Amino acid sequence: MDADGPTDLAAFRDEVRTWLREHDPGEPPPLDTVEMRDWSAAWQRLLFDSGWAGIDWPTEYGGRGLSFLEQVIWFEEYVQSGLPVGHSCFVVALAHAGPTLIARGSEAQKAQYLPPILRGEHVWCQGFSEPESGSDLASLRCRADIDGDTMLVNGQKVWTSYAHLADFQELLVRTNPDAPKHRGITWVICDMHTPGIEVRPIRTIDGGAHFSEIFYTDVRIPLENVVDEVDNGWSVAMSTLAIERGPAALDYQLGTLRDIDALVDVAKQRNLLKNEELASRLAAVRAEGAALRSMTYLSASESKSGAAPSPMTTAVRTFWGELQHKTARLAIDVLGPDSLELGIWSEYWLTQFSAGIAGGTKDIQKNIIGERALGLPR
Amino acid sequence: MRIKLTEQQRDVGVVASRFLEEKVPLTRLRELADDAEAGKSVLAIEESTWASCAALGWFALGIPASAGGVGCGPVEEVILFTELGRHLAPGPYLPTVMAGWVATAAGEGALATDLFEGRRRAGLEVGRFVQDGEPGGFVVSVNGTTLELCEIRSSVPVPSVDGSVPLSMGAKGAPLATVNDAQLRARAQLLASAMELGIARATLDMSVAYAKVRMQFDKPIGTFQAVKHRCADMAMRVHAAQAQTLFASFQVESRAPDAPFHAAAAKTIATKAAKLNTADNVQNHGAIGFTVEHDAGLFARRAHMLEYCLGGDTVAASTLLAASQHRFETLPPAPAEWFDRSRTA
Repeated sequence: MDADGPTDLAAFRDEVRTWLREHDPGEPPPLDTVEMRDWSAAWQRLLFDSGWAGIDWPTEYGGRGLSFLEQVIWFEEYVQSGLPVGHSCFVVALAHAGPTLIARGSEAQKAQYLPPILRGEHVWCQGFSEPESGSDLASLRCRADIDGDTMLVNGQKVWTSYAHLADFQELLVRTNPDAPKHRGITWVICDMHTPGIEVRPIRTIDGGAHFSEIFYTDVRIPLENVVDEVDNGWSVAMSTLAIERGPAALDYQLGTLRDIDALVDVAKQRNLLKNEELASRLAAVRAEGAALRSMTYLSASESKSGAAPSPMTTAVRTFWGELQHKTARLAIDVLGPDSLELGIWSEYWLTQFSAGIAGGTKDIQKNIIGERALGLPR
Repeated sequence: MRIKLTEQQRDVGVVASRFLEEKVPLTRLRELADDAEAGKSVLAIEESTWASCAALGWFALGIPASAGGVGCGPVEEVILFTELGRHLAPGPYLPTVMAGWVATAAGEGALATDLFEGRRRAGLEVGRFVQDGEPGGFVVSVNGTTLELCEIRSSVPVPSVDGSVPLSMGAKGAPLATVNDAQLRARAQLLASAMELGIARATLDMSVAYAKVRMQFDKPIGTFQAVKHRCADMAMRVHAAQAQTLFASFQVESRAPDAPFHAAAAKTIATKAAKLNTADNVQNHGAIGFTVEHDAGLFARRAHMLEYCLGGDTVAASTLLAASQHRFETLPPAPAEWFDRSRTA
């Protein structure tokens, strides 16, 4: 660090901490997803007006234009303040749709879509997985026929978080069925209010209601919504996934550290640290939490927002998923029979089943680590 | 506050790797271990090699120049010790370096100079044994956050799991130098972590190389997910151990309040990485990995010797659980610089 760096960053941290303390909403966001949208939109608007939205996004699109380090400090202070993590329907917009557009979008697309994201005006969702295309994402079949300056979309997407609230979608479609499967895919911005889109909710194992399947019948999307080029969407999707699996999730990752701290407190209150097996597992998840943070810094320093996917960011994502699984199981073991009552830790346990699936199953992620980071044969 | 790496410092890892490859390749390590086990030598090292290490400044690398050291810090020490681990370098590097810190902190300049210049060495007390102890030499022990340097009065050899790390039991004299410093214990844990990281990385490399060439069912075994995923797990452990060891080394360098926490985390992560990777490496090699001719066993044995160093997981766990929470006050170094320096590791 240079001579004046630490002072500036320390001042920035103080400023963030003071602001968060003064603006703590004091209550968690509502669970009802429609009310949650209003709550989160108001919060995001407040962040934008106060200069805390898009800290490392370019200034021309409403960001602060600071470095990733300031963004990290924001996340750290946000998580440490105890404000809720991981319940915002704006997460797709802020964490990977926006960064994907910054990396791969046209100037017109950036100017049109990025500022409303930061102002909390647009909810985005992801349209990648299909019923027959999970880990084998490139086999996707949702079809788009190009017709003049539009495309006509027919097909289905599934496992879409916040689709029922979304204004826009990062949609992967098959534009060339004759090309090899990775070469006929297009990444397009889909306006979720377009006629022909039907969203059906899917309830999840933890009782959550933000998941959906989506049906497209003759949905017309202008070609100007294509990000990068027609048939080059696989490469754009890889950018999205690298961002999704990488530093974009930093607040969620730091949230896991906070969960571990809370669990250690529960164990202390229950005088369970004298149980060597539990103490050893609690110490191990704490150590792994520290390592997760260190790994994230290391991989974030390798790839700036939207840069080429680094296979080691996949390793961080997978390591994190396994840590979430361990922490959730440990929570049940710390609570013992008290975990039978539906409460924050039993819900936590149920929610963490998604940690080895979301953003690509841990199995496919380990293939990626093996093949792209280690160079093992396919 | 942050030391800018000179070209010479950046080369610490490169020089160490080249030196160790030349002086103690694994074939030579086996001979040295055989000699020690046959009683032809006390330690599995050659005096000329030890003297060369002293000349390279390895025993005073992290000592300030004003105290007769090289003037580098924990980051460079970590770079060096990662290479020592990766090459399974035999010899009491860790306790000798620790002894130098203790002697320096206690103001025992002459003693420190003897250690820096390779005239004296120290073994490490682990449980009821001493690793790499020599009659007439020193032994370093760690109790709580107190590091103590004593002379070995008597010493009886005990069969060691790792022949290149001779084990003994005996009696020690009154302390020659004592220092109670949680930061110094953290730094010692860090260097043990670095060696474990080196072992975890070496075994990952061995497994990946083998999985690419070993053919079964007319395919390289690395195509099979059972093997591929085991290699991916090994890589994740290496990545975690490397990131945490490096991060902790920056915290230790600046004597940050959370340095003991992060060093304890590094030791926990690196111990697990070394323990599991060396075992997975045997598995990945199948029956050939189970033979004494194969090097996989050497790594498993050395990982075992390091596991209980400095109180092992038990001591690390008490540090990790004593903290009320992860705290984020201490900034990591600027990512770009961090990455730049980590590249040398």
